[in-house]
Amino acid sequence: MNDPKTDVETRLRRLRLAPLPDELKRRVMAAASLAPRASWRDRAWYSRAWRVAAACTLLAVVVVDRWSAGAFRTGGEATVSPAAAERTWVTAGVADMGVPAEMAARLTARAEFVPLTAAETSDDARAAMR
Amino acid sequence: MADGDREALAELYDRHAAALFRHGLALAGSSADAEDLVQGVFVKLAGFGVRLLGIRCAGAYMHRMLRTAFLEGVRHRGVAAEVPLDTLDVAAGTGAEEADRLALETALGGLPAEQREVIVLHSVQGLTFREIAGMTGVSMWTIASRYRLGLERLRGMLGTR
Repeated sequence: MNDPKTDVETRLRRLRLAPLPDELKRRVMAAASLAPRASWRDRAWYSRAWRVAAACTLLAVVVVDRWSAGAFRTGGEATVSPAAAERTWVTAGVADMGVPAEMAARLTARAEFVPLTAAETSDDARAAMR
Repeated sequence: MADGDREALAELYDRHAAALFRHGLALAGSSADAEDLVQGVFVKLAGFGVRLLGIRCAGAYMHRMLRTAFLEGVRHRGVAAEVPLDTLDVAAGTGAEEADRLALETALGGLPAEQREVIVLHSVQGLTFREIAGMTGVSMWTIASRYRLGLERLRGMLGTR
């Protein structure tokens, strides 16, 4: 008898499993009842190409929607702070008075900006100041 | 097959039944149980209908179905019965060789199903650990570990005889 400690694997390799019985196929074919034919909706649902196309379409719709809402706009219409707008307005007013540009800049820098009401910043107020 | 085509079922059977039967044999030990497992897989698969369209790799899927069916059966029955492995009764040269083969089959039947599965698929069928891992859905390291433990156990069983 072979030494079991050394050649179990060799002995295993010599084994031949029982073959598949021929009549099993007949039994399987007789017992199996196939489900009804798949509809085009099922085919579409289980199709990977369809799922990818649907996901891409959804993504495109979201991107176009965001684009039209201005979510991707950078720069362009930069918002101007009220203080900067007032500074520009004062500079322009001083320049209109005929003050040299350098002095106008100094005067603007020294000017004490007090928050104004909407009425004061209107065109009428500017005209009254002139 | 999702179109209710019996020819497709027959083709699927021709392509995978032999490997499934050997897998069933490796798990269950007896030909009768392996036949039941294979039949169960095909009957269940035929009833899947549209769900068949979602299966990417039919071979691996069926092997896992077979394995799950076997393990569920064991769970319901409790402890799995020790069945000597059914092998082809090749005309053995001598009485000693025949006794040796029978001892090996009986020892294989005494192993836990998951260890026997790996040992039979690897040593008898010649599948690689990677192939077995693909069939069973178990990691290759676990397969290798089961093989080593099963072989040690087998050696112990045969060594005491």
